[in-house]
Amino acid sequence: MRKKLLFVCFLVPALTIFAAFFLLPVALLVPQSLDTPEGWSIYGQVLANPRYWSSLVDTVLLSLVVTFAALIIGGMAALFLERNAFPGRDFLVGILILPLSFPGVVVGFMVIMLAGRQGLIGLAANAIFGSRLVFAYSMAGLFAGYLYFSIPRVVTTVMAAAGKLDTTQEEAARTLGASPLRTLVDVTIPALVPALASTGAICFATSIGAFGTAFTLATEINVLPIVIYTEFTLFANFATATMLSVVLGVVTWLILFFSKLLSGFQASVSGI
Amino acid sequence: MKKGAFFWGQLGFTLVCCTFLVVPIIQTVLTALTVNAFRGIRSGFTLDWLHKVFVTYGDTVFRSFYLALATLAVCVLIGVPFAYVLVKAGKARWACFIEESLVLPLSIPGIAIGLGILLTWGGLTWFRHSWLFLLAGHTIFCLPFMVRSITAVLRVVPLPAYEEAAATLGADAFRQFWHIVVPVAGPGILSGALQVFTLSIGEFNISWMLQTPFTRTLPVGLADSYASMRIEIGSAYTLIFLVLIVPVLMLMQKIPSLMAQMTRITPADTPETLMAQTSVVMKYRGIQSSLVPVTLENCSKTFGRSRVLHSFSLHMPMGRKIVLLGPSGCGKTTTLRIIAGLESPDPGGRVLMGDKDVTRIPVEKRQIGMMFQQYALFPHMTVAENVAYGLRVRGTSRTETAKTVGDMLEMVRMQHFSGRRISELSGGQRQRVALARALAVKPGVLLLDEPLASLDAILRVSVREELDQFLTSLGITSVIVTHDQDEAMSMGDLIVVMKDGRIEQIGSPQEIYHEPATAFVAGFVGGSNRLEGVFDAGALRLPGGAVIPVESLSGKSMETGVSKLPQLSPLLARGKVSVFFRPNQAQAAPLAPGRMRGTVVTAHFLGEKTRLVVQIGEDTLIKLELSSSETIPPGSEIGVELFPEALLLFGDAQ
Repeated sequence: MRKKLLFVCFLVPALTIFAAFFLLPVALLVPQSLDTPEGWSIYGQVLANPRYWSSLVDTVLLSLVVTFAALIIGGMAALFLERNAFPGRDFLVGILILPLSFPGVVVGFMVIMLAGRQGLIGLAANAIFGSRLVFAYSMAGLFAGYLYFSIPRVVTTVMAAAGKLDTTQEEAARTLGASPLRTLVDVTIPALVPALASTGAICFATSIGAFGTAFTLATEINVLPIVIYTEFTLFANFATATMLSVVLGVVTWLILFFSKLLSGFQASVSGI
Repeated sequence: MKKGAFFWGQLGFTLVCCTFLVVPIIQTVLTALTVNAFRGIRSGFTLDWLHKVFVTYGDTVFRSFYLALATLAVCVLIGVPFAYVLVKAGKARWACFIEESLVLPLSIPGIAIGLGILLTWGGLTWFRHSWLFLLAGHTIFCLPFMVRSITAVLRVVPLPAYEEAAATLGADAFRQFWHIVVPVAGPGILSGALQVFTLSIGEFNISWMLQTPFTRTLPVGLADSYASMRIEIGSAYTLIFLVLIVPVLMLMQKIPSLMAQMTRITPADTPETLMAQTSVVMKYRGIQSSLVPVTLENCSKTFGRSRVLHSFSLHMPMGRKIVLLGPSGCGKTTTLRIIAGLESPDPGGRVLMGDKDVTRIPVEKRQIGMMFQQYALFPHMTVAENVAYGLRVRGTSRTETAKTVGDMLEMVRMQHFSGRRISELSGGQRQRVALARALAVKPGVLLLDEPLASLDAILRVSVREELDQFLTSLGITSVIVTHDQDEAMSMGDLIVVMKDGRIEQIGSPQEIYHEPATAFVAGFVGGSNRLEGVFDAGALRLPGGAVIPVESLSGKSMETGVSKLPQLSPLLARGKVSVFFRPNQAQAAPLAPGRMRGTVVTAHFLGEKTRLVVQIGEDTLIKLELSSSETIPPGSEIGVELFPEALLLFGDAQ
């Protein structure tokens, strides 16, 4: 049938590009990582290496903490902005969404601006305590950076989801005698779980692979993307770099997979 | 509403949040314009830093801009058709699988993807050194966003209806895509395009892996400038980036309201009674040439394992209104779609228009007109453009099209609405536009799928009468699908009652009403009461103690004059029968032996008549319509006198 032919013509270009520049390269990472005399045992050896192991643990922990912090902070702000109308509301929404498409390097620079040597926090601390507070180049700076790009992602998703909620359910809870806080806990938050799960997954995936921010802030902090970068660029250690990439990809994919069981995976603007 | 501590607390929290996000941006802008960042803004403002950045990194800005445009072009070119096929495939397993794997580029860190691309394709030196290498990486990263944005829009619009409407108007598969799908997907493409553009401009992870000194992009340059330790340079460079990206972001915020506009649904209708002016209809009739009868021969239809139509054969005479009537799932819509060519019958079935076998002719070549249940008017076209569409795909000249469209709109009295958008019309107006659009191509047969179902209940009766008059005056062969027996009765010259993919009865409204061929027809048409009876000792025994001698049944029906005697004898042998009678074919009477006895449940006074619901025996309710205005209080015991001649008996008790 002609329609079928047309459909095939429509599918082929996208699938070809997808296969050539995504499926094949990612699949080839595995044999590349095995391109050493040790073969598969390199995975065991490398993971047993305390440096790599601790960087993996640090990366996952940092990403998890950032995700939950962003969910709480962004979720509260989003719910508030969605449910209240006041002058300047749209302006605040605009500010919260603005950093959505900042690349990681820019986010890193924002943290330098905030907590670097000339940062506002440092100046304020200097004025109050007489000593400069500089944390941009530490784990705390990384945390601030990841939070910086995670909050807008949470805000957009939660605002969209809260806007679609049936408010009569909340009103029903109120007529049944629930206080506003009780209603929030018993009705609103459960209804937002799918949105929170999907946006949490996005934040986590973005954080764990956030190379740009870490690259700008500190090459001394051993988060996994930085380790991959140094192994590849400085030590030309291809096998280890590809192996760590595979590990990073698998861990991220696993977390996303489990969050998908909780909710439909909704892609928001991502890309740090 | 008064704003309590809860409100102010939340506002404060949100403000802190905003401060965290916006302060470094303001700082960046100020630093970029300040002479010396260490001494602060007291040192004065300057554009020197911006100039320096432009000299050093200008190439990266332009490269990123062009690269983003190229990525955008590729994503639109391959993403739109791709998204369309995914939506069309629906729940097919392969499509779900592809859609799932589209998420992968988002879930695998860019640095890993970049590394993979570098190791796989880096060997091709010319490719490695050209900007195409970056384009490949950016496309992989951005394509999923484009595809998702488009599928999201295409899934909320009634896409199949739009396409089928275009097909019945003569558009082939490619034109359906180009004229209908692409414009309808418009907001999704726009939203996806903005996302792709911003993502591509800011992409760092993959670009860092793929870049060469000759293909540095803006973010790569940014990273370089941050390492340069001159905070003013970094700030100025960031400012340039912000200027590039902020307008796009602001546009993006407008998208949701645009989407809402596209899918807006007009609320209920106000009654309106305007329809065909006879003179114009006569004009249409004059130019009408291709009226044909339609014949279905032995058409079966099987979907998967379920057969919805069983060897269906039907002749629809020229210029008549044929109504396919039946409950949902009876195959009436499938029959209509087979006539249209939107479905093809199983092998062996044939569709004839006149003498011509059109079974193998695709829908767009069949010269039929179809009005869809929700009208399927194209939301991106005006009223006039909708009506003109069938002529446009046929390549009719512009002047002729304009003339026909004018005639059509005049015919349905919509000439003053030609420039309106569909979303600005009421339900009744939409119906008239849909009718004009279907008729503009001068179809041989007009197909109407539940023409009144989308209308308000109050409007339905008046529109029904108008539509009926209109179709009668056009004299076009029309096939109407409905589940509403009143609609069927008032509009059809010929009614085809269907059940479970088979024809139960074909006949005029009178025949269907007075001489139902089967128990199903008797029960479905006319709001009959149904009782289960038994023949015993020469009499028909019914619930509530009614005993009716067989002799009285064998008389002639008062209304139709058809003898029931031949039908009755086989029934007598079987014992059990279903008995039907209409609410006005019985009356209340004093209690008497052999007469049906019942208890009044409700009594409604309706003016000229009174409607009773009476409980007979344990579990049977019947309706009675009494012509008198006598009131019988609920709870009272009454006798129900049946008119034996009017009883309809069927042996196929189910």
